[in-house]
Amino acid sequence: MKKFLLSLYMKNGAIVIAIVLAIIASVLVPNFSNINNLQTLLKQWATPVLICVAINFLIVTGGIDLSAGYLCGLVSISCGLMLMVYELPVSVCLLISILIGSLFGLFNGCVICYLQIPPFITTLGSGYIAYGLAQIISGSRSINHLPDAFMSLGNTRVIGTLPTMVFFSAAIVALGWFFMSRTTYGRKLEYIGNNEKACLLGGINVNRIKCISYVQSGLLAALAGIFLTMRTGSAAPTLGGAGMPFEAVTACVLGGSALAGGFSPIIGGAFGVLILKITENCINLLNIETYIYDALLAIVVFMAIVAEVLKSRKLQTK
Amino acid sequence: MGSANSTKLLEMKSITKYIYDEQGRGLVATGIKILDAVDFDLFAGEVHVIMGENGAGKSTLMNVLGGVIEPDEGEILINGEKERIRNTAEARNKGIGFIHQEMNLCSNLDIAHNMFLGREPHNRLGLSKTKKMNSETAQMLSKLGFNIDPRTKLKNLSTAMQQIVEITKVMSYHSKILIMDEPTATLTGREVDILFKLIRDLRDSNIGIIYISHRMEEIEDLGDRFSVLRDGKLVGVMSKSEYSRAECMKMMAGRVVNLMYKSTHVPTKDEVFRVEGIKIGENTKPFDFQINKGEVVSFGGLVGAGRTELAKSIFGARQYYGGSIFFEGREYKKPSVSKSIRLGISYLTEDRKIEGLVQQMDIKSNTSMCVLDQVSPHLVLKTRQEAALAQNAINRFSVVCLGVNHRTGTLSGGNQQKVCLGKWFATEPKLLILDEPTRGIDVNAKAQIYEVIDQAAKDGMAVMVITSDMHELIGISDRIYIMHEGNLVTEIADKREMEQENLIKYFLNSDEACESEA
Amino acid sequence: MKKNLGRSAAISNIGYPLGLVVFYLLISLFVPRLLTLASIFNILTQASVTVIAAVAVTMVIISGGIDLSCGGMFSLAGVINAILVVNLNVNPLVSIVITLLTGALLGGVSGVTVARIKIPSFIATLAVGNLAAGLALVFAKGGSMAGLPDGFKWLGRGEILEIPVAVYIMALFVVVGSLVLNKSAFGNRLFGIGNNVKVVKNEGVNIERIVILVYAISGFCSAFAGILLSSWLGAAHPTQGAQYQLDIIAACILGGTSMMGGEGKILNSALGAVIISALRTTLNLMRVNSYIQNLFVGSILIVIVALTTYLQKKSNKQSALF
Repeated sequence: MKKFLLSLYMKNGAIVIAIVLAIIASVLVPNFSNINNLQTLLKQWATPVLICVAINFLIVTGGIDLSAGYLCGLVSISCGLMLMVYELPVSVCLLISILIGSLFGLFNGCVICYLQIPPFITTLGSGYIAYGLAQIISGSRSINHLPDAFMSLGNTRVIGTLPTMVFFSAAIVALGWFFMSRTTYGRKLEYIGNNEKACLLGGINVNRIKCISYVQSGLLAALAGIFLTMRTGSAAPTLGGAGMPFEAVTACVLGGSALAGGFSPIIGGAFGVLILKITENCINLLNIETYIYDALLAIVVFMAIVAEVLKSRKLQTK
Repeated sequence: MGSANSTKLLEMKSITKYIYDEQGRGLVATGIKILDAVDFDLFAGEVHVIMGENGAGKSTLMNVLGGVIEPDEGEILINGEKERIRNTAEARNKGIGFIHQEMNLCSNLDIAHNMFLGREPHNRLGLSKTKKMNSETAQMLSKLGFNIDPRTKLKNLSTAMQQIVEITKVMSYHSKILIMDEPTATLTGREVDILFKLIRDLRDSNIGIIYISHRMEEIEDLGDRFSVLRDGKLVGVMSKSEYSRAECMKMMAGRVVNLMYKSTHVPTKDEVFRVEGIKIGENTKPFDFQINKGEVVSFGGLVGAGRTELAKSIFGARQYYGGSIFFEGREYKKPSVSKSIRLGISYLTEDRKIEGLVQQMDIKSNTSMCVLDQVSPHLVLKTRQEAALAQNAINRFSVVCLGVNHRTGTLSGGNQQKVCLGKWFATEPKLLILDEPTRGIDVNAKAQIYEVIDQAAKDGMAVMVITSDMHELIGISDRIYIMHEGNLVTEIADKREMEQENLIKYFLNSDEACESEA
Repeated sequence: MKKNLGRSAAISNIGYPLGLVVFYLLISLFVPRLLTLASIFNILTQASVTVIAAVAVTMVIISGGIDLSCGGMFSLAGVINAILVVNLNVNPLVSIVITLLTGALLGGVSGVTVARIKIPSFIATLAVGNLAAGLALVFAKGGSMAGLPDGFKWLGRGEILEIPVAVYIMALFVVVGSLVLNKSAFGNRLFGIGNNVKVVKNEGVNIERIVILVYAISGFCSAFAGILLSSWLGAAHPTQGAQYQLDIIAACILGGTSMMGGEGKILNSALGAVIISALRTTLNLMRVNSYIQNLFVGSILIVIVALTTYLQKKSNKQSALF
């Protein structure tokens, strides 16, 4: 019985924990199982999960994107400007916003792959660049009163008060899973993450694949920025923030990713985000100060790192 | 010179070592001996040269002396006292200094700090006594006849000088026995003279030096005694007066050829691959070679001859310095790995664990790596086709496994190599380059791989094999090219000339061989 | 030979300080006010916090790692110290000692994670840093903590002989740090580890102990910097440290510390921190937004790392066999 549970956990740990946590919360935390609360929970899940999917693809090959949060803000304010100041049609704004994110990701990718600068330094620097740019073009102000055509895209209620963006995010998680486990792109990432040398001698274009994963990260960060704007109703350069990548890494670790690279389950990560959001939700409902959540994140990552290492040690000594 | 009156510094009696695991423990049950009852001794004030071809056991014997591994049988006497050397620190404490081929120094530190790394002298406050370090280092250097500023950073020194520093460091531990493994590998003419003068001075101050090298002229110049190892056994010991190069080479070679190789293919003269004027290094000489359809052409030579560098250059994984490559008649400009694979050139790497397999992934993922975009052209993975491809390889090469989903890391060496072969055969190569294809593989798997090679040639592939195994070289080749230090020494097309003593001459690039060439 | 050696060493020793002076003169063309003694001291005081942390981070980078936990440590140290002194009425000196020990302990945790569990240092220190930042918020209950005694504030704001105390402290750290790095067995081995761990291991050196120690030192220095910062600010803000992480790394890189390990000079990293402080002050006086300043620093970071990596790779390539 113990072995069965253990193997179940090893494969689907995050799902199990999420379910268990939800059950405990519905019992112990007042108002948790309230429909409105659950729907708020999902809305809060919709944005960080995009960054988590992006980070999943990156940590397979040993990369990271510390600029994702700042890129959200940059895209948010760009979108706002395009809508309000230049009065471009919504579809054009969305396209250009996604383009901005992708180009930024391309910049990151090229610097990391072709200039051979470590990812954490590149994205640390480029994150600040993104933030600075956002501040410059926004004049440090935010734009409110966004047009209905834009807001309705993400906020149209489907099933109670669940906005469409939740379904978009779920679709992206599904797409992410598909790309990671059922396409040559995901397979090549796995090859690279496990043995880059063999890839270089096996005809796999390592730089191109890595670059694509950074473009993808930029794209998803842009989407996250758009969703955040739709949710809060204001386009601001301060949206997103520095904590997003770290939260995403925590979620990935909870979902069973190997921090050393080579393996990063998307579905696990998505449930990892859910676990974190349930926790945050409970903290709010119980009127505990929100910064406890930040501290908790770090503790969780730490414990997860240690657990993973102990797990890998056990496999080795076998 | 080692005279009858000098002390016997070292005596190694009947040293036996079986093939060993990662911890250095001998696997006696296998019965495979790397060293078989080897005797070796060293007198004070002599240079004792150890010779032998690849795999003869020279490095293993020295690793025993240097404390890297312990012998399974036999004993070691230092200055007449029986000693047990359990690790490198003990070896050093007993006066044995080992100068390896890889530099054991830090390039970013200066000479003095390298000398005292791990034993830095300091005062009560914990501050290093830099003046003392510098002056003692300068003293040690000048004692050996060198006047280098001890504050020079190592990376600013020439390779030769770095080696001098390494020797000085080893000597600073009061070593009486000095082991030098291929010290002149990276040195040029004048630098070799400097090194040799140092070695002679050391010898004259009664240090015993064990010198391992393949450079015949050098060892004949320097050596006082010569021991030849072959297949883990000591074949003979010659004093300087007894030494003759011919005799030496006879000792190194000369075994009964194993009848494991059956050749059923018939090589053609249709050119598949031709190289003109290639230089694998800035200072190597350009050379040509050619491989025809249905041929098995081997590249022989000593480790470090440059064969892997050659293979990687023509495969597109490495830069080369001049020359043209022609594949199927057309010039192959600016080779790259993906281009090569597309054209039909495959390269099975020397080290399957590091450069060949993705050990964490299963067989079918590994076999489809090079043809991923062909098997699954529209991004979506076609697992059924992949599995079929993998099963094909498993059947064709008789891979012992639990199926296409078997994680390759847990396969035996021979089966891992077969998976790699499967990966490359999936690309339907026209030129197959195999780098040490049977290294570290059991006998049965070896035989199977020879069959594969034979069949490949039969099917019309041009096969290029890099091997350091003399038997293999003689057994499977239609033609042999021999390389030495980045240059091509000779081509041997006549089967009658393919015998060990002859080949060894070329391996060592001794002048005799070269003269007979001219 | 000896003369040549002396000369090239002298050049590399003078290079950075000279560069700093030149740079300073250049930017003072934009803002003449900078050439006053008051401005110079102001810049130095502002730089002191970064310098103290950069001294230790330089050592970490030399050993082949990185420390991304400084920002979080600054915040946590300030908060712990404030709680001890203000809320629990502990003697300021005792409180400082306790805070420093906490910093060293947390740094040690990073060190153990890197040395024993072999997690990449950027992840380990990122986690510890976030942990510290989170704990700072928790302990401070989300708000700033004022009420630090005047004697305490003297550290960050006082003067001795008309020179700010912070400058003396900064100089002390640089001197001691340089001594430890360049003139101790520990420092020698740090350089060795950053260049070629195998060689150092062969000498029988306990690598793990050294790695744990260098991260503990970094935690210690970050804690001190955090104390100094809150002393200068007059209060402990639970997020006071966040913005310094970028500058600390930029200072080390500007000072020529190599990201590949094995090369670096504490004095130069300190000068790098001063340059960045001068740059920021200038930009402040020119009314440039702090976010845009970060943009500058971020870009400089990427450019310089690219340059130094490229140059170092070039010199490494020339030592291939053929």
